[in-house]
Amino acid sequence: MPTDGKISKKTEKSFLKLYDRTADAIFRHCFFRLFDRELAKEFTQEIFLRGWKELTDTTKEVKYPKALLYKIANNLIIDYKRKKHEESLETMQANGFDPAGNNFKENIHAGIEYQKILEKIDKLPAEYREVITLRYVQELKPKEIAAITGQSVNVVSVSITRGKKKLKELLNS
Amino acid sequence: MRTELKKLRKIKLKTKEKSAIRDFLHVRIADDVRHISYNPFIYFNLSNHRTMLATIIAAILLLTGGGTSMAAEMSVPGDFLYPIKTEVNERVVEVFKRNEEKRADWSARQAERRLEEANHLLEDGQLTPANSAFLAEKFRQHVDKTNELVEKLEEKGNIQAAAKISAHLKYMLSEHFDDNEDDDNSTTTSTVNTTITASTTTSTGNMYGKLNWGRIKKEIRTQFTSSTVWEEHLKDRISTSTIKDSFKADAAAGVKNAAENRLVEIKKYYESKKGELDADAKTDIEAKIKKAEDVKADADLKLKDGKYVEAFLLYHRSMELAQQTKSLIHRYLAQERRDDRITATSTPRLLDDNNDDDEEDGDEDEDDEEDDDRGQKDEDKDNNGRGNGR
Repeated sequence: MPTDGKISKKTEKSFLKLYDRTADAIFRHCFFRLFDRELAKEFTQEIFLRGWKELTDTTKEVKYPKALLYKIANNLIIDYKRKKHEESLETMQANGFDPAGNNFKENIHAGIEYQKILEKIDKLPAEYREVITLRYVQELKPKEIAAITGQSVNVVSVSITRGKKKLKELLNS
Repeated sequence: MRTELKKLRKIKLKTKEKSAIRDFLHVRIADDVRHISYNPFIYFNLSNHRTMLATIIAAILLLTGGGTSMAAEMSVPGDFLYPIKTEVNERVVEVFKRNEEKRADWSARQAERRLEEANHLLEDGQLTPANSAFLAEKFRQHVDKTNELVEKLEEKGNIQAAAKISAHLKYMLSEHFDDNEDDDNSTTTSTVNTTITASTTTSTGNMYGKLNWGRIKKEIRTQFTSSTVWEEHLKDRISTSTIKDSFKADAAAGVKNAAENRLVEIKKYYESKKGELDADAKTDIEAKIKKAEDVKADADLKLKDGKYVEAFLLYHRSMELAQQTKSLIHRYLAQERRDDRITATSTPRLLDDNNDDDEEDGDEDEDDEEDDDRGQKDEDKDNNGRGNGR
């Protein structure tokens, strides 16, 4: 009987399906924190590699694989930022930062919209910034956000409501 | 505002970027993945103390309905429990077959089990050259053993038992190796090559497995199922034996009762399982039951006409069809359970994304409202509380 500790092809297939479904969202998550496309790509790759190790570790049970990937992403980003000086979006835009990248050089109008929204999100208090991004940009459910942030679902829901109100005020101002 | 936020979702990986990362991951995780190659020689045999003890325990489990032994019964080559099925369960059953007739019958049944396993693997797209060759070899071994035991029965004058088991084997083989079946030998080389070029490594292996099994089936069909030879041999043995006509009549009548009982039993069993089967399965099974009934009706006519040998063979044929119907029901039920299992747990538990609640954009808005309302309600509660607290 095979006892080589190897993982089944079924698991491999499931993991690659998870990648197919969530790679864009994870990339986006990294991108909105790093504001560097190439770096966000590298981080995405590393996040999934680490995710594979965690998800195939039979000593651990993972209820929300997506949330695990976000947690890994946050930890990597925090570690990275500790080594680098954190820059605000404004500073980076002053240095020629273009968040939409090559995709939207043709779509100037859309690019302007993104810039506007990103600026406003950046102005939100930290506790609302993350939940708003996770909820409305990354399309995660409150329970998934709760799994990432370690807060209760109720607290997350309240933060979403308050964050949304605040963002509306900022957009209208 | 929500619409504007949703626009941010357009920031994503380019297709090439996404594929490049995927390919990278695929290569990096490949070392961790077990690529199943069937090696029958890694499984234990019964020649040492530890496995003898395991056999005894397995025998107790088998007789007392132990879960592992029962679960092993559904396994096929490549499954973790398959060695339990063949090296433990089947050997234990063999030990409890006290006479040659029962052992011969069991040996024929083992041959049939190998064919059923090949069919399961074929249906699941898991039949490879390695496991098809393994199953073919095991099948041949079981058939050879059955033939040896049948010859011994004939030598001892137990013609009835010999005929019954020969008929079982013959009709089982003809059922699995139907001359009208469009087996894989009809696939042209060019079609195969085109398909292989277009497919992944996994499906290439399966395609070769299918072809290999097609070739094996052709060999087996030629070798074992020359129906004229078998029928004539059986008739010859029964006709030229020293059994009196009256005994032959009694033998035929005895088998008639057995065939009738078997039909009643199988129809009851089908009724009890009908609710778990889909329409196609029911059509298939009912056709099989009808065939068994028609063959029995023919046998009744032969018996009435005094053609005892032919009646005898036809009653056995009817019983075999009834037995095959039971196997067919089991197969369909197993398929339903496999399908249910695949649907419910298509990703392993660790990667179960049912909790991720991926939804189409259209459905999300309802939940958005719900969640926002919950946040709003809590917000209002807070505000009221503050108000009331003053």
